Amino acid sequence: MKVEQDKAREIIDLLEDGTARLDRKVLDRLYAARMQAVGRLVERRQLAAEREADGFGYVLRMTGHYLHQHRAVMPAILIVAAMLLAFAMTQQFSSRSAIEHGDAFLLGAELPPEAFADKGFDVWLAQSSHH
Amino acid sequence: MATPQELSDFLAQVERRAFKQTVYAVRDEHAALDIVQDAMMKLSEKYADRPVAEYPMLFQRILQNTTKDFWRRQKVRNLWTSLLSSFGSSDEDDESDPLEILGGDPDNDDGQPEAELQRRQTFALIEDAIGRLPARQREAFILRYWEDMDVAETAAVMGCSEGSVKTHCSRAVHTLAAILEKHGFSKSGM
Repeated sequence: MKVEQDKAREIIDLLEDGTARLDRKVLDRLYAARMQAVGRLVERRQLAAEREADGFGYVLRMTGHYLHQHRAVMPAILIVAAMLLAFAMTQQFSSRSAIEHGDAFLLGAELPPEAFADKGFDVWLAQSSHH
Repeated sequence: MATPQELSDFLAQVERRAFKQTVYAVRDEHAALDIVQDAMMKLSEKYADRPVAEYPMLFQRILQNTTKDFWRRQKVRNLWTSLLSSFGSSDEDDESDPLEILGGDPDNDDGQPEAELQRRQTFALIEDAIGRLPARQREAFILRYWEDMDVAETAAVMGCSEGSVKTHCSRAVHTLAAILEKHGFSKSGM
């Protein structure tokens, strides 16, 4: 085990030695990548700090920014929203009138309302009408 | 939570090894640079809030996953290339030069002292040998000995058992040592 680790160490020393002398272009590219990654972190931290400092104002500003960015599709979104609202309202009123009709029928019928809820009633009615 | 300076220091510390490690895996310097850059960005965007102590393992895992993504994309691209090549001949010869992949910097070879030349040859030999290792052995060897992770950390990054890590490392070291000895680099010569 010790021998194996010694051998590995020697190989790694050689690798380290070679890696220390990388091509300038590669080093520049690695440096640029590192700076980009660090820059992104700085950017994110600044945004987070702004958000924290501004609170609700930040949310409003971001919403305004979003609406401004998507202003081309906003009329279409508003029309669709209005249509959906109109549909929901008609559904609401039509179902209410259907309920009213149902209630009037139940109250105006000769039978008590419980009779319509009793599942055996129809069978009993059919049997008694045969007699 | 890491500061930008801590992130920068960490990346500066690992970037060269990460690059070489990726070159051994993909055998293409440009692709390796792209992969390392992607891995750096992912670390910065998704894991910057984690403690700095976790960075080595996180970065290794990201690097390995990004390399795997590269292979997946290559696989799909190769599939399309082979499909499309049947529709027409490809006379373009813009593929990367195999000599470039093998490494070395011929411009700087002139006038180097003998010792320097010998060192370069040894380095090229080791790099070639590492590149020829099976992928899992190479990963285990690099993580365990180059990244200085312990067996448990290496196993966690590789997603395998500690026993497998030990086996992979042992085989890798024996293979590399045998190759070096075969080329006349005894223990003292290394």
